[in-house]
Amino acid sequence: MMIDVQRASVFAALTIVLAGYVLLFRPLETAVGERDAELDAARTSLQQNLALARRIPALERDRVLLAERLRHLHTSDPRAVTIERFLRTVAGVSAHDAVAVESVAAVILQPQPVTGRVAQAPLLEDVPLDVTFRGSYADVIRAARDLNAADAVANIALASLGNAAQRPALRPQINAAFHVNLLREPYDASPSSARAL
Amino acid sequence: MTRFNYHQGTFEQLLAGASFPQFAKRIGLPMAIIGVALLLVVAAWSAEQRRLGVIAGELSNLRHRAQVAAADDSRAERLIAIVAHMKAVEQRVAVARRDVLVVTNTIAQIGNELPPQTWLTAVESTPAGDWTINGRSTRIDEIGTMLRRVQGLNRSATARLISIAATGRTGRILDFVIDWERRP
Repeated sequence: MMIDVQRASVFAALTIVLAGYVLLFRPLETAVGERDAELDAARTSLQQNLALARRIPALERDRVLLAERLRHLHTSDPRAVTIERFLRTVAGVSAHDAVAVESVAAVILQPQPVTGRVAQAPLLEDVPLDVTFRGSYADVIRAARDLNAADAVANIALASLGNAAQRPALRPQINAAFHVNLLREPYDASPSSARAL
Repeated sequence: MTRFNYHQGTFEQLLAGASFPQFAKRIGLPMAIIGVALLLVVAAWSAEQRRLGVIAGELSNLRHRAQVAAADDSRAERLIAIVAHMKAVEQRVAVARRDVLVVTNTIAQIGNELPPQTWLTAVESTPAGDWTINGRSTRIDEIGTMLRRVQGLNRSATARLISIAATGRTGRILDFVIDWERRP
């Protein structure tokens, strides 16, 4: 039987091309596709990183501005310093607004019951005190406002207003008791502890 | 005379009696076709390898840049957390200060809204934030006026008269108690 050499060569050529496609081209094309996908993912990730990194100067400005504002509020001072500042403020307010400080008492907080869930650290810690002023109605109101405007940050709520015992040579006065919660940041590893980044 | 070559060599069988130049001419085209096919395969393989190389280089470059950017990235995330925390603290302080103003303004308003011949004797607050207003008046209708005015201080709160009781030796002075639920 005679072999048609030309047909056989065309067949061989087609076989070579087909084998090349199946064994070489296709796997390489698949690898290129996979690498392309990796490239796209890496590009997207890089763009996100760069977008975030571009915000750094603006964030830095915000941080400095906020740190400066919060510095005046002294929220990151230790507890003793916070109380000392508040007592100085009370003394100043007492002298300025003509009210007498009848009492300042610490409030013992009941410990919170421990639950199974991990409690989130509070943003600000309360340092509760009960403060009583003695003075005229207008003066005690002004004293509470001045306490609020001072640099010791506090949440002040009315506890009671009542007639004070009459003292000789003094006009009738009232006792105004306020619940004062001094606000300060609890020390922990929260971001604000690293404010001076 | 030999009529048939019974011991043809392999090459002679392949030539089928043709001379080598004739054979070469006969297989030239088929060989060219096969050559072109091989060339095609090699060219495609080479092009793919080149593409793969370019992509691998680009990928390596991107990964290096991403590694460098990762440090900035974590710094930015840390800054975002710090700024958010500081804003929350500032907001909380602002709310506390505003609440104090509300309280002092309310106390002042209660004093200012007192009808004639009516006095406060005590104002107390409960842990829930409600207030109990104790007072004294010589006229019962003024106590009604007082109740209406306390209610007018905050529309969403509820002022409720708890009691009116005559006191004093003549019984002409009236003690009153108003409960003011300041919660909406």
